[in-house]
Amino acid sequence: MIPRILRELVHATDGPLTQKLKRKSAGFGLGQVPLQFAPDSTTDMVCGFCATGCGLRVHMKQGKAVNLTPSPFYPVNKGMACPKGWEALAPLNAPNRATKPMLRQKGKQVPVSWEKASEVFVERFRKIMDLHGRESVAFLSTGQIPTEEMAYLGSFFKFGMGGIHGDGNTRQCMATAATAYKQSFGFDAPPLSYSDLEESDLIILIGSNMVQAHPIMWERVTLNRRNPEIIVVDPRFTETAMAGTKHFAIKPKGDLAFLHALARLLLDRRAVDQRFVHNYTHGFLEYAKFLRKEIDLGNSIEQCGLSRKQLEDLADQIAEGKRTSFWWTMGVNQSHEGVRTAQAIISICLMTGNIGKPGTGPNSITGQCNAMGSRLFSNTTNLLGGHDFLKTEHRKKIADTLRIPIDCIPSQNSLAYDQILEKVRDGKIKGLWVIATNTVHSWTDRNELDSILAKLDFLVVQDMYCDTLTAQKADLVLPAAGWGEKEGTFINSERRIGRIKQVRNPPGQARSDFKIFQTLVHAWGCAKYFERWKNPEDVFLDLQKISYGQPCDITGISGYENLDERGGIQWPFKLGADSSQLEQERRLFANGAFYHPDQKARFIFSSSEPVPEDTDAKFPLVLLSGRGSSSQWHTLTRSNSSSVLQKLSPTKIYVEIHPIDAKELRIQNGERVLLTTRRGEIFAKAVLTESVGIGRVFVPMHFPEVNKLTRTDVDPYSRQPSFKHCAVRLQRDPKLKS
Amino acid sequence: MLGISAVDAFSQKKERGELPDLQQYYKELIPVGLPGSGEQFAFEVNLDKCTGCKACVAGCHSLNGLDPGETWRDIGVLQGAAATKFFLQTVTTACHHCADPACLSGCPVIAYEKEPDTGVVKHLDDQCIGCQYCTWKCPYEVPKYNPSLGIVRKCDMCVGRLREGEAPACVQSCPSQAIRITIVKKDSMRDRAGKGVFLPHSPDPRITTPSTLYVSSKEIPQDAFSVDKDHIQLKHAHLPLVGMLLFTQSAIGLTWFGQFSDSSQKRWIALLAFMLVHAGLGVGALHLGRPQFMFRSFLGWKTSWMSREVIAFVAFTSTLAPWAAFSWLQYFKPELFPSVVAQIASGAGVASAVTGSLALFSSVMIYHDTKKPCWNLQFTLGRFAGSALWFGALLGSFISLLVKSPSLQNWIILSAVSGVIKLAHSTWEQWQKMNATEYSPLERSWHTEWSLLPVHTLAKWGGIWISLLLSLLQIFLGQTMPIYFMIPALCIFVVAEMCERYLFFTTEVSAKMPGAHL
Repeated sequence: MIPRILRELVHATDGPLTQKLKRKSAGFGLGQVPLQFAPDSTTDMVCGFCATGCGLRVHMKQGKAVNLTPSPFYPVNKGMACPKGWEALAPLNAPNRATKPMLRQKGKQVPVSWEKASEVFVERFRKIMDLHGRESVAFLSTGQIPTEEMAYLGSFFKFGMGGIHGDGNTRQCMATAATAYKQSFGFDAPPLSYSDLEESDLIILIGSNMVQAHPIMWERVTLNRRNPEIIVVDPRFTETAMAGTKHFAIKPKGDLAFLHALARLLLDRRAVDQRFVHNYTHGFLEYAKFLRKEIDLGNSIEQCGLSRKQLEDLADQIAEGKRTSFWWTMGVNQSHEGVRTAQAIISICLMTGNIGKPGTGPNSITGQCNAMGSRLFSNTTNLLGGHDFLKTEHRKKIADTLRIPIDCIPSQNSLAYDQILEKVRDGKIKGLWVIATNTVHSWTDRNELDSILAKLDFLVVQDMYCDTLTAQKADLVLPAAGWGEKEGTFINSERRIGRIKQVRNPPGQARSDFKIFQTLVHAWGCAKYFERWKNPEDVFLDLQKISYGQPCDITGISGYENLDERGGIQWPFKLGADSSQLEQERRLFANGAFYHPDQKARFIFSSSEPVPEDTDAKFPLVLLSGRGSSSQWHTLTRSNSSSVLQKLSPTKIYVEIHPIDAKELRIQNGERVLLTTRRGEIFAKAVLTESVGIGRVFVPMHFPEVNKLTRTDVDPYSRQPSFKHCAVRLQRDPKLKS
Repeated sequence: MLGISAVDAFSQKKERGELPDLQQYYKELIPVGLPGSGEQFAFEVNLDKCTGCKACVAGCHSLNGLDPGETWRDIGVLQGAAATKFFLQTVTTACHHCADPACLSGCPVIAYEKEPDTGVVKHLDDQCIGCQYCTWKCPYEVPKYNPSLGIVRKCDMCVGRLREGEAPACVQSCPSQAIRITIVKKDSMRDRAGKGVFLPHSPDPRITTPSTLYVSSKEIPQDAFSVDKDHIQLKHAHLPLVGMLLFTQSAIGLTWFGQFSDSSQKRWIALLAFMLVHAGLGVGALHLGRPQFMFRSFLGWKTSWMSREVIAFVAFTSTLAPWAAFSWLQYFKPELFPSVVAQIASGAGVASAVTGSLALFSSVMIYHDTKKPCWNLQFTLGRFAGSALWFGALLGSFISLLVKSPSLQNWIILSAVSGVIKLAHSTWEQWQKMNATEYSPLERSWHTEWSLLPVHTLAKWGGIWISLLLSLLQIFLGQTMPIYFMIPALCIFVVAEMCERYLFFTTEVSAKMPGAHL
């Protein structure tokens, strides 16, 4: 044996370091995994970043999550994940997790007990409401917590505390799509299933950098075996434009003009599905008249910045009867006329019969993991389950189902996010509760926002992290568990309800939002209304009952386990419905029945309006913003907690500028430049690239300074801010010598 | 498995859940068997499919259990230079499992092996001493130093997975199936590398003959550049190596001049050289992640200049020791076999000058062998030999002054001559860099020096000039030169040399795989 030991001493082929990277077959269908993380069990759940809603298989060792891989057969992602999905567990280990309730005393946040925290919560909010009425407090929540928690929050605030106004950060991402669908279809009902990406002949992406923002949806595009034409409509030549077959570099906010021109060309080509239009829609004649009378092709084409040939070729392809699907995201939604733009897409689909069939549809791609849970069940814009606060029969239905007095339910609508902040500015709202969102970082016009929030008497922030820009301003910080530390369900872009599970314990004294609400309900003294809700699944069962008879009817789901067994379930899933709903991937409107009382979809349209802040001599460039990279998530609180994601992301803010503009401004690649809008100024590193186009600059939205530049122009129907367009001036860092 | 057929074994495996569920997605992406003779495994990246989503990087990290922040794959972006047709291409890159792996040939402890059947270049983690020489040798920045473990680690193409019919982590995790494993003929690898076919704005494939195939239906413009081409950053300073090189080179310089000095100085020179070289080697050991295994470092002598340097320094110290010892013996016990002792002393002295020269040459070759333009033979030899000369001459002057030797004037003249040589070489090198093509490594290196480290660069040049002028001044002052004049002169020189060597490491620039926005 000695010679071997000697040999190993001189030339070691094995040892502790080699063992560190050893892999072994782990079973559970995983293949080889790192020996050090070999699981003793696994469990499946959906990802907590974006609304693609991928299934992740969490590897458990002695009851604790140690690693994960994408679920191999989940119908959404089919064994794949984007880098954020792979790194989903990493943010839980962050050193800046909120672990104790913190109360501001003499200007400093100090740790307090949960008892003290809930006592202060009740005392301060009560005092404000006693003095200034029900409308003097509000909450701002999120698309990031499970549906059950959203329902609990909205119910506690409105039915228990007696507040009126609450909204979510989904106002910043999905409000436009939700409003457009609601007006056009009669319900907030994205018709798609992801299989449509695989079954389409003509995929038109508008304002979507899918490759970066929704990489796994792009995976579904790559699985398309029909050799599809993929047209990417975006002012920038993005990675998605590179991956598509054609890039339509429209002018910023030229999207509505583009769609009007396209509709007009289709009309001229008689590419109208007469039977569909006649049987299932309402208002086509007015629409056709509008297109013929109001839409001047030359003007519209000029306005969108494309060539006539590009548009005609596209119209020809649609007119040929190709399976055409439109997919849009923030480029459309975050606009001063986003709702009408989304409806222009919807109208083209209705007109050409591209809806309810494989590979078709006006399909909105959702941002946050549970934006749809928020849209349907957060009790903010709608009464629980897509009901109406203004309708007595709806209030009665909810009151009966939850067995609470009907008087608890407000009979007035809530203000939207921007209106809540306006009321704060005007001193009308004095207490604000922010849950799982980072308003200071993510809302528009940050300088103004800072002064608005300073007017609050009481700001409560409930978050996973103790040091978000918003939490730093809080009078009370409530430490919350994150994804992976609690139970519940999310609803993804294609209406699929999936589970999340507790695979880790929350750090320190952090509690799940569900438990926090339970604590607060007791402290407020309204626990009797919520006795039925012992755990998230109890809420889910009640929400199922509430959904009865609604388009989002999910009465057929037998409980959480059912979601596991079936790889998530898309709504609708009615009790006793025929077996067609057992199909794993379903789209809406195959039968042409929409959700308006007459079951017909509406053509809703108007002319394109000028942008609120156009460029001028003082601010000559258009400021575009958007996703930086697939490894970055929103305000970076989570994605920067993963060392891998951080390594894959740009570390500092940069601004993309066309070399021709840069030359004029004498700006060199990599140089520090000053960006100024009417609202603020920031520094960024100049990146010279032709991808952005002349006359425009682009900044990734993730960095905290970006929103010092943006403007709070909201769409009049959805009240979603237009993050995608404002006027900006660029100059070399004045401190640099020429 | 006696009595169990292959079919049974398969179904048992399936029942136990040992067959990977993902196999159905990736089975087309890996070869069925092992490569034949003259062949090896290779990554094939379909650039048409790569979107730069980075799932491969994260998937590799999770499926291989890497440390926080440690990644074996990277994503970069190539951008077209032509304004007419815009071109953008994301590139995923990992180890290229080269036919002539430079990591392997440079490793002083044989911690790399190229598997004979698969061609995979594997790193033996427990053999590694953490010298990081492979991180310089590899043109693709593949081996990554893990400071907490004190070793380098790298991609092994998940060869253990491949042998079991499983796909490597990156292949498994790519949502657009852009990465596959293919079998390539080594001849065709050499053929492609010989023609310079690899990827634009990347290291020259002729250096190591990489196996990775980048395929694309689009034509990649040859003038496409990495989007981070304007990003300049400092490389690691390797401070222990700065110290090691300066200490050992001053010792070597001393042994050169020491041969010609009178005996009153010689013993001091030998002693000082002995102390300096040991200080150098001691400081140099701090560079290693696992210095306790330093004794392995001669193993790679057949191919590694690092091993050769170690051997040369062992020879240097073993000749320097008797030189010093016998020189002092002569002084303390002049009556003891005077002629034998004198002969041994002078023999050892000459031998130490020879072995020292070999050691210096090996040091030079370590850098030259990386094929990095900034570390080419002329630059490195000039710098190292120049330091040895000037240091040797200055220290000789110092000793000469201390022992009040009559040859001080000669020493000072030597210093001035050495200074002129060093200045001339530095100026020539600077000139070469200044006049190099824009964006070439040499030009970038010059740019980095002056834009990121202007103070160090000024200190280097200022120090060289001041030291030289002081030497010239001393020639006039001659014997009367006081020691308080000599000490600051020496200090200025040491600072200048430290800056020079610091810049040598930190402002090295060479071709690399495309990077991303930073």
